[in-house]
Amino acid sequence: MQRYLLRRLIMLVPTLFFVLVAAFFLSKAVPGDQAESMMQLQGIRPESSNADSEYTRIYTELGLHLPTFYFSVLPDFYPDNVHAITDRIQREWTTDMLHQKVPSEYVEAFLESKNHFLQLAMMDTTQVWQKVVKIAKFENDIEILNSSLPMENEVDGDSLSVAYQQFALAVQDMKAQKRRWYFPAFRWHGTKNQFHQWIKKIALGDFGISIKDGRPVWTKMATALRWTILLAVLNLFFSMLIAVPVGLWAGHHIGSRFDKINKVVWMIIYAIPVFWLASLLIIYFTSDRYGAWMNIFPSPGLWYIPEGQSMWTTFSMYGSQLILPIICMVANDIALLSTMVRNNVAAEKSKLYVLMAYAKGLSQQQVLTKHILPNVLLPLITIAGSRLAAGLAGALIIEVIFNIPGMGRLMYDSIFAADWNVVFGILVVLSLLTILILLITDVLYAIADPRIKFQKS
Amino acid sequence: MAPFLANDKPIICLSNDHCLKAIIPYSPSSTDLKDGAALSPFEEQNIDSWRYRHLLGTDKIGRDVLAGMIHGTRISLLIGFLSVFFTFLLGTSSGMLAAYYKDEGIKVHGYQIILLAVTTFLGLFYLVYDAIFYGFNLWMFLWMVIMLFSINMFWVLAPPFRKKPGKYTLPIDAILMRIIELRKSFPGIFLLLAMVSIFVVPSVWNIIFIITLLGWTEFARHARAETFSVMETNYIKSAQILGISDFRILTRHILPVIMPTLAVLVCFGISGAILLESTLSFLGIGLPVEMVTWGKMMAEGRQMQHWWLVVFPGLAIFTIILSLNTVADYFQNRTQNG
Repeated sequence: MQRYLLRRLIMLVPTLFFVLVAAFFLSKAVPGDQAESMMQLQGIRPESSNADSEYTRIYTELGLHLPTFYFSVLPDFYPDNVHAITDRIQREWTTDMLHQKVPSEYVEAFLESKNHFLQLAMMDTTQVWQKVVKIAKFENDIEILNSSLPMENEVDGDSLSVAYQQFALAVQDMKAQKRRWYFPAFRWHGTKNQFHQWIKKIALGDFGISIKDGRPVWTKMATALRWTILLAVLNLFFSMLIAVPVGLWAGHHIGSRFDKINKVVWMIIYAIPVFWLASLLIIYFTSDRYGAWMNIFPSPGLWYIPEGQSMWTTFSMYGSQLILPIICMVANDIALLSTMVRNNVAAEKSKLYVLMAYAKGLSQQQVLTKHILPNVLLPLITIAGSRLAAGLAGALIIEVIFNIPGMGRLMYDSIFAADWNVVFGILVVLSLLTILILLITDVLYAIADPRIKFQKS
Repeated sequence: MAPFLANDKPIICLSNDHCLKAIIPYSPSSTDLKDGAALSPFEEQNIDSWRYRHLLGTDKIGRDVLAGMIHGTRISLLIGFLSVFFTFLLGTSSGMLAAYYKDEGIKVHGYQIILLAVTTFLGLFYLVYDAIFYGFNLWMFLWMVIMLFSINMFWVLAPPFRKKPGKYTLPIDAILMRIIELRKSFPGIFLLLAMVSIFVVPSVWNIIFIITLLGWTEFARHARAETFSVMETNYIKSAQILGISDFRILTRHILPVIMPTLAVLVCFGISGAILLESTLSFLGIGLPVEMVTWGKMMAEGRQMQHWWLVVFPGLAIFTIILSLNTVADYFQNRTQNG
């Protein structure tokens, strides 16, 4: 047993690593500037005088100036680390130019002369600015600037015309040096990188803070996680409670009228989209719009229970709130599970050991409970594990519709608020939970069925 | 098809007075200003003739529900069928190859491993950076993935390389199993939402791409399991002894046998993809704002408590899924009865 467990744990390491890598790179691919939204959260206005220095401070505090990963594979004309440029506008310009395949040293020269030039050409700035942008995108030639500059007929010593000349030269260089082909260049960055810092923080339970309200992501998730786990566990419990007996009965009386009706009913229920069922139930059964007797269930989303209530009141209030969500979640799962159990029973019934048991003179009841049932229930461990994991994900739409403050609801709200720390924190936590559940089911299954641990791979 | 069924402009005009109009004289985006918004199908409607009646009512800004449903069908079916098509290609081929060669089946030389590493590395590099420099394009991306895949297959499986078996084994089965396990350890819809939200401009193609990326492992798992059981049979061994090429065995001897099982999966895959699409649009994430889909109508119906906006699009999804599942059930019974 220990060897099996050890093997499973070792196999877990690469999976864990790649899950973290995938979540991390997804979070890096998200649009928007993390430091900027952090600045907004801290109440620093972008037009205030210290905005630039504050931006640089937050940028370095968040560790965004570090390289992204342990190594990087970048086109050869890229600089070592674009993120090291702490000035926001400078960095955006640089990445824009690099995306046009201009080598980094020419970008630098261009940006320097551009800044110098724009400082001197203060008059009519927006017009000049737009033209410079167009030049930088290679949409227009440098000549379009001539008309808007008052320096044509002035002496050569004029600083503006010198700056202009330099700028024109830089643009020319950049145009000439624009790459057509590029090659990969491998660079090693060591452990001083964003991914390493991120992992180190996550290991300590620090997922950063939420951009929306400044609370730590972990506290937000911890309260939400309780609801999601509650929903997933209740879902598993009720679906098992109904599906297993129904499946056993149908499988035992295969081909009977009960079996046939049962199959059609579950097939229809399986095809009902969860959110459709939920919406219909909410529309028809939570208000008295369609007749007073239809107002059976409380309207969704009242999760506030006053302090000091007795346990029974709290329990019954939560219970009545949870009835509809659980019905919606359970319906599909019962359909799936009962069909599985039925097919398993049917498959086991035709095996030789069942015939042997009948030949020994055992009654139908004995054969079903003592011989068929254990063989049918064993695979249910794995199925239960995967249903529990699926329930964590499936709770999302239910939570959104019924306003349950769980992980799914939090994820949904955070995506719309562009609160990426929360979004990817949830992704990581739920992935880890899923891995844990699958591991536990595997181990339980190996304990219950000794054949597994002697199998190769 | 959809523009011919529901369109507020005439389809063909012979002259100014003689026009052929669509059966439903509304487009999904045209608003009916006369009637006002949110008409239930049974309500009194201010219309010229019965032909202009909103058979299934209108939504909150006066768009016809039936026209929206007809156009929504197109989006749902497009996403359902195309994503399963790609999923099928990727999943089946990888699953069959993994089960056919197992971990010991491919013996390669050192130089082949180097070739493999170099092409994979370069392929992924240019895949990523071309997308950054020229913008992401699904067809370009698919084309490059197929190229990469086939070049890699060529290095490993092309006859000149296989004349003398090499020293090293390529554990493709173990690699595939790792990938499947990795996919399984993500909670599906959460990963889907996180992936959809990284695209700045929402589009149908992004959704197809993501559903393919998340769904192919399921196909690979089943194709692998099925191929494993076929590999046990004697006729495959005889075919191998007869010297029939691996490619021919895979496509002519194994694929037809596992096809019915894969057909079941295809049906379930399509209904699953349609369900995912409508879930996404129900949540209001990932599809362009101006696009009318079933899920979006239902979301609005739920918010405003308008039953006709929930019942009819939901019925459409339900019908599609039920019919696909029935077809799947038919295939399943056929495989079980031999």
